[in-house]
Amino acid sequence: MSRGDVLKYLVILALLIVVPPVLPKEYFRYLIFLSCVFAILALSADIIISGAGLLTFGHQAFFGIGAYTSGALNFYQGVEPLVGFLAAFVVSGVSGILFGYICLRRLRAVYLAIATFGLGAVVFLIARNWYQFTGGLTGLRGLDYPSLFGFEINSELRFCYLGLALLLLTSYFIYRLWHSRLGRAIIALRENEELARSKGVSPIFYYTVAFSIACAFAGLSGALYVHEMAVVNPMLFQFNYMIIIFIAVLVGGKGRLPGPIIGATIYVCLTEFLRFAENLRYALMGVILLIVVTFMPSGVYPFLLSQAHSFTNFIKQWLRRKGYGTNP
Amino acid sequence: MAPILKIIGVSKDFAGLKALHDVDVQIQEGEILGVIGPNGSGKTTLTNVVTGFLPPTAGSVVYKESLISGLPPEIIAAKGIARTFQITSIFPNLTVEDNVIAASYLRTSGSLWGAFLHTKAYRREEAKLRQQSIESLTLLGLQGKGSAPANTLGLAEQRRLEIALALAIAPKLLLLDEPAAGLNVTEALELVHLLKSIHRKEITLVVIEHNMKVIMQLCSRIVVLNYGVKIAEGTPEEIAKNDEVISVYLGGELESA
Repeated sequence: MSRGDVLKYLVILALLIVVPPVLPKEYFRYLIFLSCVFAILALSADIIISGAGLLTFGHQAFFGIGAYTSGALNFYQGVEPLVGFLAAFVVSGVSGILFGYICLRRLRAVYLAIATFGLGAVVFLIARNWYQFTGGLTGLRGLDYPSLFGFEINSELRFCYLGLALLLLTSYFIYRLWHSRLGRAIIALRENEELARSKGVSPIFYYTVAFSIACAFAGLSGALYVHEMAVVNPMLFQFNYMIIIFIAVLVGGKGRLPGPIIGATIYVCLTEFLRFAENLRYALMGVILLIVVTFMPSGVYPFLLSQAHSFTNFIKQWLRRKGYGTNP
Repeated sequence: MAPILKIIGVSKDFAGLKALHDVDVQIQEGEILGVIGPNGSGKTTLTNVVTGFLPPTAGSVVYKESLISGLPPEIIAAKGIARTFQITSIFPNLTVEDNVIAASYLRTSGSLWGAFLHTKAYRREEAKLRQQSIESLTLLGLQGKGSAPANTLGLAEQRRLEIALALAIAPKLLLLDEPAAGLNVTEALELVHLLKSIHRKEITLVVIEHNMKVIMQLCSRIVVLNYGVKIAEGTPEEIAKNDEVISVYLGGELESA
């Protein structure tokens, strides 16, 4: 990492610490928290979509499994939510191994998408109909706020910081993942499965691992989400969350860490700021998203990068014309 | 010298079509074996059977006294058998250097936690990987191309990169499926020199090829396949004089070689 990079990250970190408390409304802090939840969810799905190059339509199931793991442990056993987060991470990850092992043995591309879609739908139906455990459509109400050594996370500001901390942790983990032996094996499979096998990389093993890691983080985001709302219900298993993931990943820009984060933030802000349109809200959002993907097909983040690049080039040329250039 | 690989009575049927029929080949340790034959004679099928991409319908493949037929490709690769593909096969969107690093999977051992915590062991292995990949690229004449995306290389360079990827698993036996296809005369000659220098590193080579010049200059022994059946085996001189080989396949091509 160069000195400029360090400076850049320090500035971002400082902004993340300073901005939430000075925002004028409690509501904005809530939006940051919500963006963090969906950013973690979208980043985790992008491990599968861009990292492993596989299609999944069942990622919301792990969001729900994580949410229920932490929610039910707290509701039935009174388990501390932060311990529940860890449990959600582990249980979702293990379910991801099972789910992945079933789907990934032979299926690829759209067949994998169909299988994951089916499994996601089955998990939703189980959650909705197993009301003795899940509480049916009313769900489990009155969950505790997370607390760490007596410090209770009970305000929007504290949730906002918790969300940002977990988002940073997730981002760092994923960033390092792609620079590890494991991550490279996954990338090799994405790039050329046949060639990767001839280099000793087992597809079933590494695809399942990629799937499982992605599911674990999806579970974490689910657990984070329900303890803020203090209620967990089977609607968290709905396909809606998969659509949110696709919007965040595709609008933000897939394959780079800032992409899904920006995408999730755009989604959260759009749904909230379009409330004035009442019933037209989702129609308007559809139009906006259509415009975005038409004019920025690779996503908002790559678009912003290229704009920033041409802007600095323009400034450099302008300076050179004025005789300030460094080049002779 | 002991055989490094024994192909014993191998057959492969595709829905009734006999791609290979009762083929016996022994590959001696340290030799360069050429496999020739007309299109559709089963050369690529043989490579796929040996490297585990296709299970044989009958017969067995024995590598260094252990049975490998029926094992998946990744396990066979781990035993030290590398291959290249008939249609050039690389990791297209990675840089040349990252291609070699990705292919070095079997030679690395780094854990996820090492990468996550950026430990000393992790940094040491990273540095070693970069160093090895630069050395490997230099050996294959791709020095200075390390940071280029692999799909921007020309065909001849992609071929050499593919060989670099095969060497990255530190193989004892390397099967090359038509390494000279699409190369011009100069490039083919460079390839011969390259393969000879790889051979000097104590790697046994099996070269499947149409280009007779390459085969004649390189191989100490040749196996000829036709319609999935081995019809001849011997030194290049013997093969060049073999009437059956000439009648089924080579004819004029051999005389020009």
